[in-house]
Amino acid sequence: MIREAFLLLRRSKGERTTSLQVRLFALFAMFSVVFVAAGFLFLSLAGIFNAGEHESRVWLEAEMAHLTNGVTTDFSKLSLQSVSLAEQLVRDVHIYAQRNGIAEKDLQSNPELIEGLLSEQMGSLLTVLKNSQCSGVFIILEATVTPEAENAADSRAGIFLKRTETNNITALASKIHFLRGPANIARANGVELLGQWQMEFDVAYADFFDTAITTAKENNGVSLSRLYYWSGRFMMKRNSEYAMLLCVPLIANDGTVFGLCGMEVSSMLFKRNYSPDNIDFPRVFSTLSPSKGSTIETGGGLIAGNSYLNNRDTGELAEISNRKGLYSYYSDNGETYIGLQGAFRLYPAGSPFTGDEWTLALLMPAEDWENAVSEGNTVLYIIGFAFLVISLFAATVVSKRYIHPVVQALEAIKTDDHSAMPKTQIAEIDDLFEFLAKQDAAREAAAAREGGISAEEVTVAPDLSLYLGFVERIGTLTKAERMTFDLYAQGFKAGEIAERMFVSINTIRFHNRNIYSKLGVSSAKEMMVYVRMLNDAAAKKSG
Amino acid sequence: MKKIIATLLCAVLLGATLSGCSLFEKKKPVTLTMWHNFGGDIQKGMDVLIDEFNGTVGQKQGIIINVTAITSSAELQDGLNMILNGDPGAPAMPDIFTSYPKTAILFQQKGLLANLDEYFTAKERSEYIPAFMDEGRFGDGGLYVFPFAKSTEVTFINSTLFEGFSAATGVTEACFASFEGIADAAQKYYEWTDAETPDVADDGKQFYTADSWFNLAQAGMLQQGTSLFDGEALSLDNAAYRRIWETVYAPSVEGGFAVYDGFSSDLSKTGDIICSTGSTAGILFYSDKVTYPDNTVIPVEYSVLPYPVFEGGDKYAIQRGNGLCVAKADKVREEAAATFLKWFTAAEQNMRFVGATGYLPVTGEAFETQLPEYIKTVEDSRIKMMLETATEMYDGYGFFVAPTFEAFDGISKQYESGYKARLSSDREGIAAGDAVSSDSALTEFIASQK
Repeated sequence: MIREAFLLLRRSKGERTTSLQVRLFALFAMFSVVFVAAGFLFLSLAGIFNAGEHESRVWLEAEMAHLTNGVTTDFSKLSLQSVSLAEQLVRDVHIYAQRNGIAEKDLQSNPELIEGLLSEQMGSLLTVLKNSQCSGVFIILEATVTPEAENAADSRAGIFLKRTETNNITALASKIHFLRGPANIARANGVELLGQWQMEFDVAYADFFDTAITTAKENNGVSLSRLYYWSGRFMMKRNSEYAMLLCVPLIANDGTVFGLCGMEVSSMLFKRNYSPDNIDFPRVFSTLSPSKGSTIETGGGLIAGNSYLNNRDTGELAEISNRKGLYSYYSDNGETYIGLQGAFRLYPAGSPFTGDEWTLALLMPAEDWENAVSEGNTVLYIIGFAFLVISLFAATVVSKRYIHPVVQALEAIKTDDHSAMPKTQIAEIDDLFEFLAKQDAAREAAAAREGGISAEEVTVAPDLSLYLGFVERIGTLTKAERMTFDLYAQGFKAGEIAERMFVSINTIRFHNRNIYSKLGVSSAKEMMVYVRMLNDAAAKKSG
Repeated sequence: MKKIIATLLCAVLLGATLSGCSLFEKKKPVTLTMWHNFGGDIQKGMDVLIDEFNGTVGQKQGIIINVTAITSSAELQDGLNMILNGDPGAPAMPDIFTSYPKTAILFQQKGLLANLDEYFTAKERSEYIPAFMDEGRFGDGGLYVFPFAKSTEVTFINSTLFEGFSAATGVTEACFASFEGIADAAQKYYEWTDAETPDVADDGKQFYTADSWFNLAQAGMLQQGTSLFDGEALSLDNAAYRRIWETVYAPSVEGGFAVYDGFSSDLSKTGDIICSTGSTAGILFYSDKVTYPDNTVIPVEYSVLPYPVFEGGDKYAIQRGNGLCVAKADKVREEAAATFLKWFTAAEQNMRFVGATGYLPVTGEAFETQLPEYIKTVEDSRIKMMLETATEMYDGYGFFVAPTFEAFDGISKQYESGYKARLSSDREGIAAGDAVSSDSALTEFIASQK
């Protein structure tokens, strides 16, 4: 059908005419295209094409609000609990020191007292660990039990209690291990040593220790609630897990900074608490990281999300665009991320660390975002395209069916016998046939009355040579064509001939075309002129 | 013509539909949570493999392994027990977790585990060492614990400390061949160390401990040609068990054997023992330093010897190590978990895991073909030594697996805690001048286990 349409179109271009069917198909097709285009325009104006982005953004904003609320609440609580722990430890150490006749500043001169001092802090440390949403708790003294040892400058006595199973953090059965501290204290308290256990802290690789202690010394008189310090992502020597450490200095009444205490938020705990819902975006993740200007240093913070993003994405994320609060970042590993972010306040006003910038962000690979945004649109495009294809198909079928009777009627008009035309169910065409049949009948009646050839027939009267050619070509007719011709010669109409020959009117039309062609006439009327001449000749011959 | 148009139309619609479907598939990867017990020094090896899976096969097939817990196997079992019992505050059940068969069977009986047979063809199953596969089959014959990290028990010796003792007393490494030899050496070590401080009475040091006294009893009974079990109950009232008890009891209550509620590697770190029997996988937990209470740190070396045998007994050792269980879920999740298991235990990954952790490979190809060559390339001398000893044992020892029945976990826990409690209290009794005979202690212990 389409091929025919194209052929017709091509032919029509050459002849500068276009068939009715092609015109009608083009009309329907144009309506289809306009309708689909209007549909897309409407959807576009109604914002349907932006629905994916809108929904994703609403989800991001809700998740970001939830994340911000959770991290703010938990980190504030941990900060307060650590400050409270520091106050408790300062009191207890002071009592211990007094009992042993020394001041806190004399601890390093009395290393034999250190294990006893630490042992007495176990109760406070265990209580805090069991009642906090942290993965570890520690105390580090500005002293070592072996001041004469080679590594004494970097070795610090203390205790680090660690909870490795963060899933059971709220359960009473949660098990606690010793990461650092005297083994005797661990065994006396029924606490197992971790595989990475060492007796003392090696602070040579622990910037947090120096930072917290030095800042406390430099800010003498500032309250503890302003002196706590959050380290960046850090892994203790021989440990296997990254963590952020919250450090609060231990300051004696005389102003001596004799150590620090605090809590640990391990990467696994952070992941457990702050992994975003991943049903819609499986690779979305959150991060709390230090930042500088428009760069987020994920290598210095913690990440929570699916899979081991902590190991993979630990470089820097550089901001590349900000579209109405929707940020795009380019990472060291070549990935682009999209999401929301906001500055995160870890410290209160008056803290010496307020200059440290931290960012809390909720990000996902740009590919995931783009897929989500275009997900609904893809379905719409597919539906639109399918609708267009179906419409064009329907246009083809409908135009063919609609035009078919018109074309048939036009063909039929070319015949003489308009009265034999079948009904087309199209009022105008049936009317036309009726009108033409009436005209034919009137003309024949007039001719009969005049007993001769009508004016029209005169106009088509041939010369003798044409007549003789006509008579000669009668012999070229087939049997069926001859039978048809003879019946015309006897005065039968096309419909009557079809009935007598037991064939359809279309077959008679087919014969008609062949007869005209073979006899060299252009119409039934012309043929009938020759027939009459033939009949007259026959009459004369017999008369 | 109409047919051509109809076909064209169908093709266009089908294409559009399929392209739509493939978009959705790509966008919705299956995320599987996983708990495992490979923390500490061996965590990195595990992390690297899981990262690699997520970045390659996982990314291609839409599978993300999300590790949500890394802790000791004991804590992991505690967490799993909480889930099993529906305890308040219990965490959500992970999709994949490491577990011993004794815990896994409890999950299987509640219909919480996937039968992994459905996801491995007969040919794929045949690539794994049959004994390792059999250990993970329960009641209905289904495969519920997939082998991936197997181990046996060996003897770890602090050679640095032992050499001093050996030079002074003439006790040689031959003592580690039998439990009787170890008991005898322990007594001598206690006396030797006690004599180092003549002004302090009874301050001798401990020589040996076992990570699992229950495993020692199981192996000891088999070495003597019998079993620790009579059906699903302990069989303790017999001569074979009496021999085990007598070998262990005296040095334990007199101070030569340590009775400790933790891993022997803890005591090794502080020089509180010379040797221990435990899992081959524990090798990386033995530090290359000993730290004394005054923070004196000395470098030490370890040697690894085959598991001791009761004198005159057959060479038997336990085959242990946990496997991976998959939570029962829809086919998509189970299939995704099986995909991870196949990748993780394929010879290439399996050997890398072995080299990083000290476990034994689980496929025939890895164990028989690749391991001997691989040992030559292992950089960590501790793992190299352990693998050499383990392969030596696999040539000369018989191996047994702990039976799996519902009450097994409870029985083993009750035995371990009761045994330690008995030895500790009798040691305290001796210190307080209130000694108990080995016979009466055994009788009371047997009674307590019924």
